[in-house]
Amino acid sequence: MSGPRLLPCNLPRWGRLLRQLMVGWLVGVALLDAAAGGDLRLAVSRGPVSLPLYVADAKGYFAAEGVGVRLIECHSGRQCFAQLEEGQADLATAAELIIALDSLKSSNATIVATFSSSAQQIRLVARQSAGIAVPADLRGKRVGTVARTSAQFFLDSWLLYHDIEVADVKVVALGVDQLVDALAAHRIDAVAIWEPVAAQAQAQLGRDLAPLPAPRVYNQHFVLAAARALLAGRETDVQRLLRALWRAEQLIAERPAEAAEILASRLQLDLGQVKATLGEHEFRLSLTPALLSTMDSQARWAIREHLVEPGQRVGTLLGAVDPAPLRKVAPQAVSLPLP
Amino acid sequence: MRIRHQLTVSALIAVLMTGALLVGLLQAIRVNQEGLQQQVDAQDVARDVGSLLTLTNEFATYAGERAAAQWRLRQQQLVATVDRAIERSSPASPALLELRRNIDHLPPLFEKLVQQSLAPPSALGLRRHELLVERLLTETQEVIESDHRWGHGVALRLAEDQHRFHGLVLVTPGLLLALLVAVGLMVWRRVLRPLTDIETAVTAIRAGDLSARCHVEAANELGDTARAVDSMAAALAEQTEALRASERHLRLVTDNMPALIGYIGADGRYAMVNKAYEAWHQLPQADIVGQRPDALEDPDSQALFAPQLARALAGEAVEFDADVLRRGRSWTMRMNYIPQLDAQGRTVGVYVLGNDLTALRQSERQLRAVMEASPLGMFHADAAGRCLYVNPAWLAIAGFTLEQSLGDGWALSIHPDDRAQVRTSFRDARDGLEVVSEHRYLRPNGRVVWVRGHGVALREGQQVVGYIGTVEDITDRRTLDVELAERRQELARSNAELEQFAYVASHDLQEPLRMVTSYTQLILRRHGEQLPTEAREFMAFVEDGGKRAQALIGDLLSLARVNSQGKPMAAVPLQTVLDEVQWGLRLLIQDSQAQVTHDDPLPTVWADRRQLGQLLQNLLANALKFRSVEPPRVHVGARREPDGRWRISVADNGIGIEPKFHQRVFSMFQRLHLRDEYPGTGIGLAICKKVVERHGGQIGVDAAPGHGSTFWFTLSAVADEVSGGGDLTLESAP
Repeated sequence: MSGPRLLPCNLPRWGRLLRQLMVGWLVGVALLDAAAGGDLRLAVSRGPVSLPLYVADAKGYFAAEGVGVRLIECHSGRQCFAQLEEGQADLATAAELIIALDSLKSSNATIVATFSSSAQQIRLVARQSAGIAVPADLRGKRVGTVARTSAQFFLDSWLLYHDIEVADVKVVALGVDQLVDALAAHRIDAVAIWEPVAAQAQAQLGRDLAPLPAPRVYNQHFVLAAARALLAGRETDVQRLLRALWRAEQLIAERPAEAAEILASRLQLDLGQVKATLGEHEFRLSLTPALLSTMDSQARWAIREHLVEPGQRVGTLLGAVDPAPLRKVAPQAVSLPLP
Repeated sequence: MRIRHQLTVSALIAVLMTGALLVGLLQAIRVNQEGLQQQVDAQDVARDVGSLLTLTNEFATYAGERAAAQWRLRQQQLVATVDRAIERSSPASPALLELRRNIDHLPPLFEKLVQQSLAPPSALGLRRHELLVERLLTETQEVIESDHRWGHGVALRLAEDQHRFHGLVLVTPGLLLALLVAVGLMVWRRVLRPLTDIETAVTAIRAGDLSARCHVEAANELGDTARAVDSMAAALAEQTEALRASERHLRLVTDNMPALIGYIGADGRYAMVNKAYEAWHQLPQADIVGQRPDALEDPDSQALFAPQLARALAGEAVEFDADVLRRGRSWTMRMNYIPQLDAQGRTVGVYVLGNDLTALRQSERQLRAVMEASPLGMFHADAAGRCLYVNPAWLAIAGFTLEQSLGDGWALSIHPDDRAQVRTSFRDARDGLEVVSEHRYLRPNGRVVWVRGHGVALREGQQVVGYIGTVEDITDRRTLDVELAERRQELARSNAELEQFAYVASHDLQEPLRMVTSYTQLILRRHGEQLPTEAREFMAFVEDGGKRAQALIGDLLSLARVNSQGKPMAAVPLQTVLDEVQWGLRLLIQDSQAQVTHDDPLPTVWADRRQLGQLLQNLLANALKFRSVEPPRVHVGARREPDGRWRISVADNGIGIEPKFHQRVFSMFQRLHLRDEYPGTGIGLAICKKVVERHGGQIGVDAAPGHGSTFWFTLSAVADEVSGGGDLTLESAP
């Protein structure tokens, strides 16, 4: 004797088709989401230069603009860019020098915007106990810096500006985290390094450490670099990220005190010191000819200093910059004669 | 809100909006001009920076002095341009300040470059030169960038200003239009619509609908006006109702008045008549109104009324009496035609008032007949005292003819010695007094006639318009009065002489009687044993007769002394006098076992103390003497009469008196009992009466046989006599 069957197979054919369509739609959405890549991974160089990113993160501008961003902190722009190069990050912040050096090679990264610039970002501080009071006193002294970074470029320019041969100074290449201790241990007499490391050295050595004159030998552009593959697939997200940074920079301009609090909290710095030095930076999204001029100088410097092997010089500076995303977000910020 | 306030606020808003628009426009123009100037400055900066860039390259290549000088000059121009822009901007934009800072970065680098160009050539110098040129170019590029940002900011602001300006230009008229619409709506809702309501109500009111109202409740001027109109309509309705009520009342009054009351219009036709008119013409009002008066009258009457009406219609107030025949009898009508004049003095109508004087005339004739037939003289004088009328009786009394009497002539009829008195009488009459005057007329034949005249003033309101009066011939009565007075004086004199005679006679008779009595008693005492019995009886009769004659003479003497030897009146305590009298009668009271009581207290009276004692003693003695079988009960009372006098009574439980003897007992020698039953002279009560009469009082008795007697008399109270001018002396001692 057989009764009515309650199994799904008893459903009508159109019912099964509907169920299959719903399952297919859910799978498609998941696949599309995976293709979107989820949050953007942004390697951020620790320092005041990255304030717009800190503000956007703290104020939730990324989410407000519809883009998920996960910040990955690193100690230098070179480290950040390395993560980008290695695929551990989708975007990275770094001094333009890093991109300039990389552009001479066949890079898979490109600059999408300068988001801060400063002529005081890198400082040359020296121990008075080493007999250094004026630039000429540096001759024969040990000056520590991080090789192949904007700090080295700054040091060379600074020495040249003050008519000092680099060869007259013993440049000691150290890691970022080694500089302060080396200076304190008198293993070096002076250091050329960016903030906030210079401030940390100042705080640790106190009166013994005196800043030397800071002519505008180098106006550092801190840039946001993106993987070319990212721009090809998620340019819209990059534009949203740029809009978030635009809003952050507006907040910094309009409410500098709040921005200073965010920075001091983020970097665990003294708020007064932060407020005093915040004006040394210009937080503005831009892509200007000055960036290319600086990178051009850096490229020539790198070649002259043999930081790049001749065989590696296959890239161009023009190829290192992609103004399209920023032009769509803030066209007036782009003055580069690039398409 | 009041309309003027709303309009004021609207005007204020319009002014403010217009002012804001003007300020906005001026501000927009100023900002626009400032922006344009900044654009020009930005272009100048761009031009100068471009020049600097060229000069930097020029100097970097050739290191010429001229290029350096031009660079410095251009840089200074650049600084001046930016500084001017900063001065004009208040506050300066961050981009402009950044531009200014970036410009300042150039000279140190350029001067380093100039310095380097002067240094001896070296590899280091060459690299340094290259660095400085690169830095200078880069910094110049930064200047260009900052100029670009400034210019872009200026352009943005200009665009924003233009946007705001456009908004202002678009929005402000829109706001003004909205304000205009709002004001229009307000005017329509708060002004025009209420005005229409008010106009509708006023039109209805003008058409006679006094119940119409504006129905505007707004708390503004039109609301006030509407309420005023409503109030006016209400007041008008009340007044109209009052007027109608007044008309009804007037109609009621006029219809119930016996006089003919009507109104004739300027066209000479009746416009209104009252009920009396209906009765006069025996026509309903509807048949009278609209008719000419002469159409309702017979030809004879037309001849009477028509000329008078013509005079009234010509503006003259007319009064006339008309004797007309109607319904078979003669009527006397007093007609008044009173013209009603307009502001220009034109007659718009005539009020007609007709009074039926027929009865009055008849009454006047009857009165005239009465006056003519009256034995009393009658007169009628005007306000000045001139005679208008005297009747035949007056002419007969005065001995004047009518012609002699009229006017001032009648004054000659008054005796010259009495004319002042008569003038005084007329003044009294004028002052409102009813005058009665007795004076004399002196007839032309010389005979004097006494008259008694009554006169009153005739008044209209407070105004004396004349005098009327009567005159009675009292010559005979005056003659009798004189004779009577003469006889009264003669009688008084005779009485006085009689009293004097009685006194003298009584006084002089006492002595011989006393001798007769004394010697009779002496004979009986010394020789009585020797006289025969019959002689002793006769002698006893002589003695008794002598004693009675002495008592009689004593009473007569007392009676005579009441007037001749009376003392002045004084305040006398009645209690004291009664005590003295009781003391004098104590033996008699004891013997008779009498009980004498009195009211307590007894008043003080105005009296001759001795005569009052005599009066009470006589009455008390009578009460004890005329006692019944019961022991005497005598009560002396006193009560105040309505006229203020004291009524003193002496009541007993004696034998009483028949009412027919109540007056007789006060006459002399009137006895109601035999001398043997109740001894006495018969003069005691006469003395009492005379004493009371001397005191101005009255005396009487209320009594009935077997029920006792109450003798009473009245005396003046002390206060009356004192207030009457008497001196108050209190006699408390005998």
